[in-house]
Parts: sequence; C-alpha cells; structure tokens
Amino acid sequence: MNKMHSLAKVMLAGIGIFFAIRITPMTIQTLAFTVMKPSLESIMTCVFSLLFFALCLAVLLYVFLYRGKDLAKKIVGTDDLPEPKSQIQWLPVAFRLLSVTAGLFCLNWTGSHIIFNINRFFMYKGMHKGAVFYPAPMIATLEQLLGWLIMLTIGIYLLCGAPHFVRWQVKKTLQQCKNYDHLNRQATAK
Amino acid sequence: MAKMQIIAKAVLTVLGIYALVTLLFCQRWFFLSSQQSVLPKILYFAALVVLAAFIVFFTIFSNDSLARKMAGPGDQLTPAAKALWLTASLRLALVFTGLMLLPNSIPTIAKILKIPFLIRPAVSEMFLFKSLPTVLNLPPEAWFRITCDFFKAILTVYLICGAPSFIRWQLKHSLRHQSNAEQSENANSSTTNS
Repeated sequence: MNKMHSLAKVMLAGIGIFFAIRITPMTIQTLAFTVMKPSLESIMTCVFSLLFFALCLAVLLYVFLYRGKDLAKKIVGTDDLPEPKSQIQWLPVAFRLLSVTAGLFCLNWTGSHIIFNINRFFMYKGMHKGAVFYPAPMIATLEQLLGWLIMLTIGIYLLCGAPHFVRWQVKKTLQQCKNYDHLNRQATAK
Repeated sequence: MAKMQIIAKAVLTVLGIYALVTLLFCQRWFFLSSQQSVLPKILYFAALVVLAAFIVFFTIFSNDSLARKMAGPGDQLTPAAKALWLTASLRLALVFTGLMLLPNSIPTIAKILKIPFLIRPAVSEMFLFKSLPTVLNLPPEAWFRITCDFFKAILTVYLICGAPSFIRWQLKHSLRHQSNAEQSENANSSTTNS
C-alpha cells in the first residue's frame, strides 16, 4: 500500500461513517409513523424498513470499514503503484471517491423518500376525522416514480465508480490546464 | 500560491455558490406567503441581495486574501503546477456541489421530461375551449416556484459538467491577479534599489 491507498482508505472509512450516521435517524422516523397509527400494515412496513436499514448499515460498515482496504485498492488501481510524484496522479482517485460519495448520497435520498411515502400511505389509509374521510395519498405519482428511477440509476452508476464520468472529467480538467498554459504564455509574451 | 491556498480558494468558491443557492432558491417561502404585506417583502429582498453581493464578493471574486489567511504560508508552485491544482481542485469541488444538488433537482428534471406528453392535451384544450390550458393557468406564486426550480436544475447540470466557463474565468482572474502582483513587486524592488 502506498500513500494514495492509505488516503483512499481513510476517506472511504469517513464516507462510510458519515452515511451510517445519516441512516440512523430514518429508523426513528419509521418507528414514529407506526406509533402514530398502529395497524398490521404499518407494523409490517416498520419491520421491513428496519430490516432494510439494518442491512444497509451492515453493508456500509462491512464494505467501507472492514473491507475498506480492498475497495481502496480497487479505486486507486494496482497494488504496486509508485508514490504519487506526478501532480495528476491523485486526480482520478479523487474523482472516483467523489463519485462513490455522491452515489451513496443519491441512494440515501431515494431510499428515504420511498420509505417515507410508503409509511405515509399506510398512516393515512382509511383515516377519518368525525364525518370527514381523508383519502389515502398515492404511494407515488408518475413523476415521483420517474425521479426515483433516475436517482436509483445515477446512484448505482456513481457507486460503481462512474468510470466514464471520471474519465471525461479528468480529460476535460487536463484540457483546461493546457488552455491555462496557453493563456499564461500569451500573458508572458505581452 | 501554495497548494493549500489553492484548495482553500476552491472551498471558498464552492461555499459561496452553495450559500447563493440557499439564499436565492430556498428562501422563496417568504415571497410566496400571501399573508405578508409588500414592504416587508421588499426589505427582505433588499437584505438578501446585499448579503448575496457580500458573499459573492468575498468568496468568489476576491477570495485570494481570505484563502491565504485560511491556509497560511506555503511553498510557491510553478505556473504549470498552479494551473493544474487550481483547475483540478475547483472542478472537483464544483462537480461535488452539483452532485449534492442533484437529488433536489431530479423532480424538476422529471417534470421537464414529462412536458412532451402534456403538449398534445394542452393544445387540444386550447383549441376546444379557446382559453389558456389548465396546465399553464397557474397563480404567480406557482410560476415563481417553477422558474426557481428550473434555474436550480440548470445550475446543477452546469456544475456537474464541471462549470467550464466559470473555471476559465477564475483562471484568467487569478492570472491577471498574479501578473499585477508581480508588477507591483518589481516596482517596489526598483524603488528600493534606487
């Protein structure tokens, strides 16, 4: 392992802990919904949501903390990488780490929205206040479904390291640096 | 400029953009509330503009001195290395901001994707009833919200693409700043020698 691997490992552990902390309050939200309107459906949803969150938490901690070394090796590249003397060697690694973080953020956003909508549906289902009957809101509209699908796709792609996106960003960054060199030369000539 | 100063510069720029987005797009509830009279709204808007201008000036336009204060002194980089660090750190930070703003812009993007399916019923409704279609017949507050969301979505996409023109402008700006600093240094040294 070289410096880049260590840096990636530390950052991955940080990312894992951050998202584990973000997931924890969602379990309280699920429990709150069930306490507000206890029914068989809401209890089932609560149990399912808690299992889902526990699974997510376990996967996060296992992949980012316990197996962080392997993930860091995958992100940085080969095991026998030379020390990063070159100024650009850190760039793809940084972009990949950024992609993984953003992917987790997208999945976290989608998961929390889906679970919130399901819980809300079971909470309002068949609710009436006196003579007024409140119809249950839909679990999701077409727009929401489309949004979740887009977010889920983007999240999974980013979590996998987004190879095309990273390659494109690195290429564009290096192109801009060349432009800067050109500008610098022009300025010096003046 | 040193490496840490460049990173601080990128962080300041991103914080400025994030603060601007929060101020301009997330404070709209005040304008949308019908209970308030016009004067508090104008005062609130003026305060927002002043605050936004202050943030933009110190975090985006003139962030060099603040970055130096944040990061402290360090080894000076060569022009090529400086260009690389400035471009890369700014791009990284801007792409990250774009990706963080993405989840909130996805509903807007989904609405935009839905537009082709709404055109046909809207046109037929317009010709049948000779009136504005119901999808367009919205209160001004709703139009304000839609416009804000639309601009936020555009900003998100622009940031994810790496904000090329913004980075180019920042590079030019820092180049001009550097050459000015060198000229003033030369002038100072010549005065001391004479």
